[in-house]
Amino acid sequence: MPTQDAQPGPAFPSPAFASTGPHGHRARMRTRLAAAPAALADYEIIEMLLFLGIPRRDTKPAAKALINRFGSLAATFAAPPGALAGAVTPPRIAELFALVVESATVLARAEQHERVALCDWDALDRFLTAPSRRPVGLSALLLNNRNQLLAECPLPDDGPADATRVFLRHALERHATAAFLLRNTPAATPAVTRADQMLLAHAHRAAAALSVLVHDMVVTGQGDWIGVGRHD
Amino acid sequence: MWPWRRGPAPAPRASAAAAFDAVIDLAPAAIGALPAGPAMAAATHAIRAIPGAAMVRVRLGDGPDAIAVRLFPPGRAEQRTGERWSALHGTVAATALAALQTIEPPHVARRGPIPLPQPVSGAFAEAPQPFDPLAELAALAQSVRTPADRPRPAPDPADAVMLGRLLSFVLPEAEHAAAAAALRRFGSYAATLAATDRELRQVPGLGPHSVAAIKLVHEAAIRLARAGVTGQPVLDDPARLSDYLLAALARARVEQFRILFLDASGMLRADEVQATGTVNHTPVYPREVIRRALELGAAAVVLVHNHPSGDPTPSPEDLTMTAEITRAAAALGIAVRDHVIVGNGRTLSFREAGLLP
Repeated sequence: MPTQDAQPGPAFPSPAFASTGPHGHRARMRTRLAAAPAALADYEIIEMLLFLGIPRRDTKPAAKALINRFGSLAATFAAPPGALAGAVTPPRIAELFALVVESATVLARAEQHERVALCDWDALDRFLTAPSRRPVGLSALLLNNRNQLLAECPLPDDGPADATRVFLRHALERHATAAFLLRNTPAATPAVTRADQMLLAHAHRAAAALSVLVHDMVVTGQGDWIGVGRHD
Repeated sequence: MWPWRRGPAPAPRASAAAAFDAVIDLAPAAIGALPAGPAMAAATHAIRAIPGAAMVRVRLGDGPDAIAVRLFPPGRAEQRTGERWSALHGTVAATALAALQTIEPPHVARRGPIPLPQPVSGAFAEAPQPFDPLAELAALAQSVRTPADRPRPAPDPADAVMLGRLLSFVLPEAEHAAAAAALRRFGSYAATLAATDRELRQVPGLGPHSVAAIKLVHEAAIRLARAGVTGQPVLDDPARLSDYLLAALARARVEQFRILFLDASGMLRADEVQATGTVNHTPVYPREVIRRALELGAAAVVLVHNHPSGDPTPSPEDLTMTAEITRAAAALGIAVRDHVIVGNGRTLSFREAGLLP
């Protein structure tokens, strides 16, 4: 799908229904792909792959011819490059099909994550006391279902409602199921304030409704940290 | 002790305040920023528990942080006089005051493991696992201090080449910058393919055509992987089945429950998503599984679901629900041949692990 818009072709009478007609077919196919990729037929997948090589032309007959010739979608992708050469196929289509074959292999591989696992309080202590360029003020440590750190997001300090709203929005976006709240005060030794206790209580209750477990809030500063929640 | 004031509201809004029996003003300077939400919720809850008081409305009063309470003792309006009424009035005020002063954050014990979020029953769920000391020791041996802002491991250069080749069909000149931006965001070529439209659009340099091309190649690759299990009985080649299920489910952000419906000879008849859940559980209805199997005329099913955290270890709920589905299916002569949990780069087959009921 070239980034330039289609050059103006021969003048067609404007159709009675704007959503039909040859103009905009590729855009409609893209919309269908975005909405429900699994609902596209096999030949439509090939048709859209041919979009990438052939501007403007209707690629449906070529796609159907390919599938009929090789028997199935998979056989088409696996066809040797020589067999694909022809008038209806663009020059780089063999390269694109080879890319699809390689992608299928790559998708089965493991993702290399390196996530800090905050699985117990000692790990949290090591994490909080490690030197870091953490910004001053409020932030949230978003954790996944294994208490692995997904992201550290800054929060606005305008009050519990705003901070909680932004925190939950980040948590849902990153698919977090647990979190720590964190206030960084590098200029002073950490101390617990009533405002922080209120924030923790508010955030804990609001997050519970969204299945996010707020473990605790910590205040860090000058190499030390202190927990805000009620503790033994 | 916070300076509280109790009593009728000041004159300028007397008509509104007269509708309330008690106005409790809080002095903001004494408490900092008091969030109205938890304060009112706590006060409401405490006051409703008082026998003889029914709260009609609690609203912020005339001061910037005030709580006004309307009381209806049982009986008629004229009973709202006398000693009992004053006593009730006093009790309500004192209770609200006490409730406001004890908004406690949750109890946190800072020893030992940090608890994991609990799954919900009646569903496939992630396994809540206790802290694994061996894994933690292994992590310690590699790097004790891992601050979050340590630069992420660099994406595999081969991934950059592949993504550049893909984007060169759409962005003939600018594919390398866009590919680099996408890899910075998602970490790998496979993660870029599996990202949602919304996430892809947020990458600078990727326009609608690029996003469509990426999703198209993703879908084509999944279909190619599925073709690896359609020509012969599905369970004949566990490696190919695992590859297909990984391609389809390993990078899904939420838990998805999928069923492979098999015919009598074990060939794949249909492959359908049964339910999509949330990040750590998905609902399962044995009745719907069996009903759909009967509709399709399937002789056997293979259950599949993923664990977005990447660990395919089955949870107790996974085992329970598998047994329930198996029992339900047996009543109709449908076999549950396997249950595969898809993790990060590896699957766990109940059949191979001997976990099938």
